[in-house]
Amino acid sequence: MTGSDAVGLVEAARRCVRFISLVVFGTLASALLVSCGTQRSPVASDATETCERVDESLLRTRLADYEPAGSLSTLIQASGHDMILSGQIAGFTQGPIVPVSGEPEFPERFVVMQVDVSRTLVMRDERLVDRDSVYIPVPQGPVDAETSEPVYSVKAFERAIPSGTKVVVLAKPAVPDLARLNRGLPIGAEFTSTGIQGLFLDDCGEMIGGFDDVPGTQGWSRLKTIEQLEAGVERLA
Amino acid sequence: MGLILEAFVRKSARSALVAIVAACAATSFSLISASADPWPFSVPGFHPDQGPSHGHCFVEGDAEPVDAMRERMVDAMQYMDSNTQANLNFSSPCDRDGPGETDVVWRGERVFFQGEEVIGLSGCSSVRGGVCDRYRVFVNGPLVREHYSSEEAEHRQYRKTSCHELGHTLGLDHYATEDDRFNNGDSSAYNRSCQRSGFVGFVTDNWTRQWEGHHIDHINDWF
Repeated sequence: MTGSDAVGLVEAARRCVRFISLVVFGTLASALLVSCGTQRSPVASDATETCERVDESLLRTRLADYEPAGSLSTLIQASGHDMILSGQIAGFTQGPIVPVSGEPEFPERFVVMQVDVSRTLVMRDERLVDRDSVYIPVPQGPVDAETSEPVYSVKAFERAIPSGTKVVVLAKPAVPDLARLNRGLPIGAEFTSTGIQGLFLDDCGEMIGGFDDVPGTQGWSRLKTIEQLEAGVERLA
Repeated sequence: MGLILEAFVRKSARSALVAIVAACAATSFSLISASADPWPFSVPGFHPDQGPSHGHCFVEGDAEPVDAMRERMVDAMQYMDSNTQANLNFSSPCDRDGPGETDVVWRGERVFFQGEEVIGLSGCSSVRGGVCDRYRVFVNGPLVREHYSSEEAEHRQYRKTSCHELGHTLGLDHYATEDDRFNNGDSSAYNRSCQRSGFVGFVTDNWTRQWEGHHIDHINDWF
């Protein structure tokens, strides 16, 4: 073997080692990322400088057993919404307190999430056309057993879901229990419900579900961003 | 000679690479199936109390569960008692104030979330010492009875939703969310645990009233 053969051999071996290391590291990193359902894809590097991540966990202090829609078209058909809109989170305020029968010591508390409407994607109830904002009551979660104060303050919600976060909302009127209350609402405004699957947020370029994860079924698999969701809604409308 | 040796090294490296990738892929799938959902679910600091018992009671009044539903709620608690480190403790009336255990208050009435009528719902009502002191749990009896024409199916749904919501009170999340996509959209791949959402009253399989092994491991690691 000549000297140049030896150099070539060493270089080839070095390349192989480097390539194998990358593959092994990458595969293990991917495995770790997907092994826990709450961990999402890393944010694209160009987005990290300007984008605040969303912590959707505070939207999930209540978990339901329900029949999830396996695709966007199924959701749109089944949800009974009056309008589908895109907009931005404008902030949170303290909302109504709803009594719970048989458990008077722990009524259900809500904060109110204000969404400023930037675009109406679907309109089924013309009375809603001029609406600039919608107000969505969100369960506030538990209280401290000793003080009866909410564990999660309005500020905690504002930190978790930053103002300016892009959303898509499937909007319909709130159930009567909430509709007759108005704490946290501007005069003349009404509460809006979304259904469990009817709130989507932009988490630095990735679309996530608000009150539950977006199902991983094939019907949802092509919708990775809020923009793709908006286009999908308009295509189906 | 040098070229032959170089070719040999490259071929060996390629074989090693295939083996490593295969091993890593196997590891990935094993990790996915072992811990496909997080512990504890969603909200930070809501582990159940680590006291000796996971208590339960039935709310009194209009929201009190009907007998057939209560029976399935008790079955779910007994399943928990027999198969995990969490112990059943029944109180009547509800012992809601004492520290040292999480109290599950069962309700059997209509329930809505974001304007949508749901089969069941659970949420922590109060926190004491950094853990959930009381869970409020709904099973929507009227909706279940309207959904099915057979009493057997109703009862199976009561049992499944009781198991599902009890799982949330023990820190379990929904099953079949993020990683269905690894099964090419075949969500039936998650027919392995009552933590899967939805109507399953016509399904007689055991998974509708049981947790998967990794769910039980999560619970036992905590208790």
